[in-house]
Amino acid sequence: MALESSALISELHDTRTVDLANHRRKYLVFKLGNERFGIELSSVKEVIGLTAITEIPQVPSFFQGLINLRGKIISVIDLRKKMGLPSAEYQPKKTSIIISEIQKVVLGVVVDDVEEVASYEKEQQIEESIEVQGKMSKEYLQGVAKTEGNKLVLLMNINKILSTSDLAIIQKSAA
Amino acid sequence: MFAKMTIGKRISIGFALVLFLAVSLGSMAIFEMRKISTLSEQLSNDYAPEVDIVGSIERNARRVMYDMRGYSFTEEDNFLKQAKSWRETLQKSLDSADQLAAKSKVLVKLAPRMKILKDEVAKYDSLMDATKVHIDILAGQRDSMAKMSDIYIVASTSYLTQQNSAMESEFKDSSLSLSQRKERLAKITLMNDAINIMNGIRVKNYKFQTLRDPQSYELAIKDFDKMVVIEEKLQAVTRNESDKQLLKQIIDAQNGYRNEMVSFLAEWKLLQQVGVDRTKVGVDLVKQAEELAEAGVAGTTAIANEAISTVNISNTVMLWGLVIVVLLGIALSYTLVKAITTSIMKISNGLRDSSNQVSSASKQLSEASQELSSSSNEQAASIEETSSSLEEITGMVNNNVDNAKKCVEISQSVSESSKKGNSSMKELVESMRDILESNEKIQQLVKVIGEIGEKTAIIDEIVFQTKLLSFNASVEAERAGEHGRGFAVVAQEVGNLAQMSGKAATEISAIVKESIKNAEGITTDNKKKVENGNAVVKSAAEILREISERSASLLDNINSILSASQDQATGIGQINSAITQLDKATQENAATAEETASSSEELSAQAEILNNMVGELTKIVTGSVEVKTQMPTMTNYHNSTQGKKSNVVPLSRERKVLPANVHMSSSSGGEQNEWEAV
Repeated sequence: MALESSALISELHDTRTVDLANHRRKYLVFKLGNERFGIELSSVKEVIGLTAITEIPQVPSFFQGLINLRGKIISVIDLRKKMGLPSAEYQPKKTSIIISEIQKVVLGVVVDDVEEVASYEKEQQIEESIEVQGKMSKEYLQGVAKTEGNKLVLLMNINKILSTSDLAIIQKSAA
Repeated sequence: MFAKMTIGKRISIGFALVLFLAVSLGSMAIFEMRKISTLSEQLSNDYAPEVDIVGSIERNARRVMYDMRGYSFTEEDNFLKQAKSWRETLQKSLDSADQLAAKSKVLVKLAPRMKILKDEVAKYDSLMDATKVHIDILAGQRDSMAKMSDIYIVASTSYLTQQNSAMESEFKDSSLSLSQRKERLAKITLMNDAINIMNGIRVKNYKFQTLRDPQSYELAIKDFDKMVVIEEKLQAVTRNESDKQLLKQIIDAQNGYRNEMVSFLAEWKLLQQVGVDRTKVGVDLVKQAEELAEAGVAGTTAIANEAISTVNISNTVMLWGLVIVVLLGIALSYTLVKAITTSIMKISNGLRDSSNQVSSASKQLSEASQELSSSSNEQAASIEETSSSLEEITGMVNNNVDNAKKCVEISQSVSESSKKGNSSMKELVESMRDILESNEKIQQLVKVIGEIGEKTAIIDEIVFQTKLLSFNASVEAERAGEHGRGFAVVAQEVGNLAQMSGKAATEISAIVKESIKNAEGITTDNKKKVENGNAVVKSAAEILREISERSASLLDNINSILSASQDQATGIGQINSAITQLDKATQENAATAEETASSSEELSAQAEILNNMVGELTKIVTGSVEVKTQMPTMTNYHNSTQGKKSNVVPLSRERKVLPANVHMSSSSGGEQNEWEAV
C-alpha cells in the first residue's frame, strides 16, 4: 500500500515538473454530511482540529464564535449553517476548522471532516459550466470535479461564501 | 414175608432195592457222558481249528492269486503290495496249521499234507518274484522307448524345419534349376512320410500295450523296413553337414526304438508265460488246500456222528432203567403206607381237640392287641402330620429371617450409595466454584481489553493530529510554490499513512468491542449456568438426605421383623419339644402294642404249629385236608398285624430328622446378636 502510493506520488511529481502550464489544480477535500467539497489549496492557510469556540451573542447563526489560534483571535463560521444544511453535532477527531483568508480577513470554517489534498486535471476532470438551482448560490460554486468511481466533488470558491455585510460583522467582532 | 417184620425193617429193605437200581443207572450214564466229552474235546481242540485254519489258508491263497493277477495285468505296485500283505496273512495261517499238526495227536495226516502245500507255496513265491522282475524290466523298456521316440521327433522336426526354411530362401533364388527345387521338395516329402510311419508305429505300440494284441505289434516292427528305405533315399540327397548329423541322429533313435520294441515283445511274452505258470501253481495250491479242508470237514463229521450214536444208546438204556425203577418203587410204597397209617390215626384225633381250644384263646388276645395297635397307628399318623406342618412353618420362618437379612444388606448399600452421592455433590459444588473463579479471570481480561481500547483512542487522536499536520504541510508546500513540490509529496505520503493508521485503529477498536461483548456474554452465561447447577445440586442433596433418612427407618422396621421372626423360632422350638414328648409316648404305646401282638402271635403260632402237626399227622394217616378248615381267621389276622406293625416303623424315622431342623432355627443365639449389631 505504501509502495503503491509512493509510486503514484512520484508519477504525480513527474507530471508536475514537466507540465507546469497549470493544467492541474490542488484542492483540499472535506465533507459536509455525505457530500464532498473542495476548496483550492492556495486559499487555505492552515487546518486545525476542533478547539474551544467562544460564542458571541447577537450575530447571525452561521457565525459560530471566536477561537484563539496561537495568540491570534480568529472568527469561525459553521459552513453547514451558512449553506443552509441541517446542523450536526461536532465530533472530536473528525470535525475540523479550515483557516483561510477571505478578502484579507482570516476566518475559520468548521467542516465535518477534512479528507485529503487532491489535484484534479483542469480540462478533463473539472466541469465549470454547471446550472445549479436551490439554496446554494452559483456564486460560491466554482465547478464539479469528477473523481475515481464516478464520485463528484463540489468545488467551492471560499472567497464568495460570505457576503460583504457578513464580512463586515465578522471584522467587527474580531476587532 | 413182610407181615412178620417191623415197619423200620420193611422200609429199609424197600429203599435199599430202589437205591441199588438208581446207582447202577447213574454209573452207566456217567460212563456214556465221559465218552461223549472226549469226542467233543477232540472236536473243539483238533477238528474245528483244523477246518478253520485250512479254510483261512484257502481264502488267503485265493486273495494272493487275485491280487497277483491284478498286478500282472495293470502292473500297478498297489496290487503287488496288497498281494504281499495277503501272502503274510497266508504265512500266519500256514504257521498256525504247523503248530496244530505238531500239537494234535489225532490229526496224523495233517503234517504230510502241509509239507506238499508249503512246497506249492514256495513255487508260487518264486513265480511272484519273477513277475515283479519282468514287470520292472518292461517299465524300463517302456521308458527308453519313450526317450527314443522323443529324440526321433525332435531331430526329425528340426530336420523338417531346416528343409522348409531352405526351401523358402530358395524360392527367392531364381538361379536354381527345377531339379534342384524338386530335390528339396522330395526331401521334405520323404521326411514327412518317415514321421508318419513312425507315428503309426508308436500308435500300434500303445495299442498293443493297452489291448495286448501282439500281431499288430509284429506288423509295426516290420514297418521299420519301409522307414529304412526312405532314409536311404534321404541319405543319398542330404549334403549339408548339419543335416547329415541330424539324419544320423534320426536313424540311431529309430534303430534304438526298433530294438527296444523287439526286446519288449520278447520280455512281454516271457511275462505272459510266467503268468500262466503262476496261475497253474496257484490253482494247484488252492486245490490242495480245498482237499485238506474237505478232509478236515469229513473227520469232524465222523466224530460228530460217533458222539450222536453214543448219546442215543445211553438214552435208550436210561429210559428202560427208569421205567423199571418207577414200577418197583410204586409197589414198594403202597405196601409200606398201608401198614403204617392205621396205628397213627388214633393218636392224632386226641391231639386235634386240645389244639382247637388253644387256638380260640389266642384269637381273642390277638383281637385286643390289634385294636391297641390300630389306635397307636392313628396317633402316630397325626403326629406325623403335625411335625410335617411344623417343618413347613420352620422353613417359612427361616425364609423370613433370610429375607430380613437381605433387606438389611440392601438398606446398608442404599445408605452407602447416598453417602457417595453426597461426596460427589460436594465435588460438583467445588468445580462450580472453580468456574466462578475463572469467570472473574475473564472479567479481568475484559478490563485489559478495555485498556487496549483506551490506548486505541489515543492512537486515534494522534492519527487525527497527523492528518491535520499533513494538510498543513500541503498548504505550506503550496505556498512555497515551485520549491515546495517535493515537500507536498511528503505531506501527501504522511496523510496516507495517517489514513491507514486511522483505519487500523478503527479495526482494532471494533475487535476490542467485539471481544468485550463476547467475554461479557461468556461470563454472564457461565454465571447463569452455575446458578442453575447450584439449584440442581441443592435439590439432589435434598433427595439424597431423604433417601438416607428413609433407609434408616427401613432398617429399624427390618430389625423389628427380625426380632419377631426370632420369637417365632423360639415358639416353634417349644412346640417341637412338646411334639417330641408326645411322640415318645406314642412310641411307647406302639411298643407295648407290638409286644402284646408278638406274644399273641407267638401263642397263635404255637397253636398253629400244634394244629399243623395234628393236620400233618392226620394227612399222613388219612390223606384228607379236613382239619385246615378250622384255622383261616388266625392266618388272616397274623398277616394283618404284620402289615400294620410295619406302619409304625417309618414314622419314628421321620421324627428323628425333624427336631434337628427346628433346633437350628430356634437356638440361633449367635445370629440374633449379629442382627442386633446390624
